[in-house]
This record gives sequence, C-alpha cells and structure tokens, in this order.
Amino acid sequence: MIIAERKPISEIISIIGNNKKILIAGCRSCASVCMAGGDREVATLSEALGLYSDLNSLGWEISEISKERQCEKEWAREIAEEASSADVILSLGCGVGVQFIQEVSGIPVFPGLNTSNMGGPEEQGIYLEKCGGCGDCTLHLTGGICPIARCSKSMLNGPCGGSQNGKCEINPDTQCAWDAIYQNLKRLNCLEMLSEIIPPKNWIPSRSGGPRKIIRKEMVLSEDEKKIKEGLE
Amino acid sequence: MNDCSILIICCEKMKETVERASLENSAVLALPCLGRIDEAVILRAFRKGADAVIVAGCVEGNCKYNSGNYQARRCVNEVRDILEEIGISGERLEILNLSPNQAVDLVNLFENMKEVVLRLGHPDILGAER
Repeated sequence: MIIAERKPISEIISIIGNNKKILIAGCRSCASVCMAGGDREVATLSEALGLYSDLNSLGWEISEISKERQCEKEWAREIAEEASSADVILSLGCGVGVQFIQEVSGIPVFPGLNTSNMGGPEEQGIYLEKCGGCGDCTLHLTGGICPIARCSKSMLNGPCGGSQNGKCEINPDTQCAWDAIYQNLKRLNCLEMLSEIIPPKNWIPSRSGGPRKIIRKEMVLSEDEKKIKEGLE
Repeated sequence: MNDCSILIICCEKMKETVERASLENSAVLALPCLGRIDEAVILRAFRKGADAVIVAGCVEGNCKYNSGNYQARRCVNEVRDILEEIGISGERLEILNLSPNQAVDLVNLFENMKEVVLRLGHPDILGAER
C-alpha cells in the first residue's frame, strides 16, 4: 500500500490561499489504512479548517466527500462532479489520487498529504517502507526482505560494516536489513543462499527511463471495445 | 468573566458522576463509550462555542469495552496538536480518568479549566492568543 501523512495544517491553509469553497476529498484505500485520508481524517480536517475559518472570519465553505479510491478515473470523475461548485479540491489521497482527480477536473486539485512510500503498518500508527519499486524484484533471494528499500545503502550483498547488533549505523531505531535477511533465511532453513553473490541489478526497469508504464496486452481494450464502453457511461 | 461554557464529554458509566457534580455553565455529552469519540466531535464543540472541553472517562484499564479510554486519550492528544496548529491553546482541552466516587477530581479540573478560560478569553477573541 501507499504510505502518506497529512501535511501540517499551516501548510494546507497556505496552499488553500484565497479560495473560499473547498471540497475535501478522502480516499478509502491506502490513505485510509494509514490513517491519513479516510472518512475520519476528512471529517477532522474539515472541522479544523472550519474552526480556523470561523476564528479568522474567512467565510470558507467546506464540504466533504470520500470514495473507495482516487486512483481510478471512475471514482475521480465522481469527485470532480461533486466539486462542480467548489473553488478547489483538497485531496487526502496519495499523489496518484491528486493527479487522477486533476486529470478529470476543471478546478485546481491541491494535495493535503505528503506521499512517502510503498510499505505497510508494522503496528497501529507505525508504517514502514517495504518496497523500493525497482522493477526487478529479488525478494526470492533475500528471505522476503527488500534490500533496496530497507537497507540504507540498498546493498544487494550485505551487511556492511555499519551493522551493529542488528541495527543500522544511520539510526539505532533502524533495523539492519541484512541482519533481518540473515534471520529470515535462518528461520526458513535457507542460510546457504547467503553464500551466493547476487549479481549487479538490472536498473533499466527502475526510474532511469522516466515514468514507468506496464502494458498487459491481453487486458488492453480494442478501439471498438473502448467505443462500446464509452457509450455505456 | 463568569459565563464560560465548558463541554464535558463522558461515557455512560461516568454520566451520573458528571451530573452529580452539578457544574455551572457546563453541557454534558454522554457517549456509550469514549471509544466513540473522534477528533471532529471535539473540534466541532469549539466551533459551536465551547470555551473548553473536558473528556471524562473511566480509569485506564477499567473500560467496559477494554480500550475506549485509551483511544480517547490518543484522540485528545491529536486534537491538542491541531488546536495549537490553528492558533488555539491546547490548554482548552483536558482528559480525566476517574472512578464513579471521584467527582471531586472532576470539580477540581473544572475549576482549573475555568481559570484557563478566564486567562485565555472567549473563542471570539481567540485571535489574541496568537
């Protein structure tokens, strides 16, 4: 899932600027799970901004909407339609959601969250990056732990000399990914895998080629199908 | 200033204790459990004119529904941060864990909150706080 956190309210207020009618749009997927942009957080931000507006006589009109996902055009369109009388949409979805809504909306869409990484909850309120999205997965070689995302140096063969008692030298709270890889391989009775040197990685599918696009040919609609689908909408 | 209005949000278990304390210029919002409280409810209370809010629930570890009072404490802490962010003193919000025979603790906190409001002023002059 995508991990994000709410921007400081002072920054959100600054982003809103002189706009008066604000639609706060929540996302019930990743942003909801990381407690940054679900229904509850939308209601909280709505009241907080309303209170700020009341105190400063700004006359903001704030409305709320949440959809199952912002990162699909169908949902994004519904949000855009709801915002027909608004000046701006303040999205509490991830950066992908903001862009999807902006694509179909004629009014500005502002981000209310800072999107951070691909990860998951370690426990309630604690989220850890898990995947570097490198496009060339090697988790089968590393005990199911991503060295790209979780090793501070993204080392493919570790640990380095900065690993001390299972912790990384950059921060005593940061687990050494290669220590974790060792522990996991030991648990899986696969320690012999550590004797294999992982060769240099293929970075071509990573960020070096600009925005990445994956095409699943069998799923792409033909032009005729697209016309039929558009006719149904 | 004697007419400050303080909202007391409590759980069903504490409702009788809160009402027995007969606190002047207060309103009581009783929820089935403090676990039901959310940030928006507290913020809305300030928007509706509350000078301060007290969240009163049972002693931690003694919640009928296990963890409602712990959830409420997290919620209160978050709202305090939000209030400070928008220029309202977090002192206007307090949480109290008490047992049914400790109404005096609530009365003492209520008096303290009245003093806080007296010092900080009504919400319509909150701008002066910043």
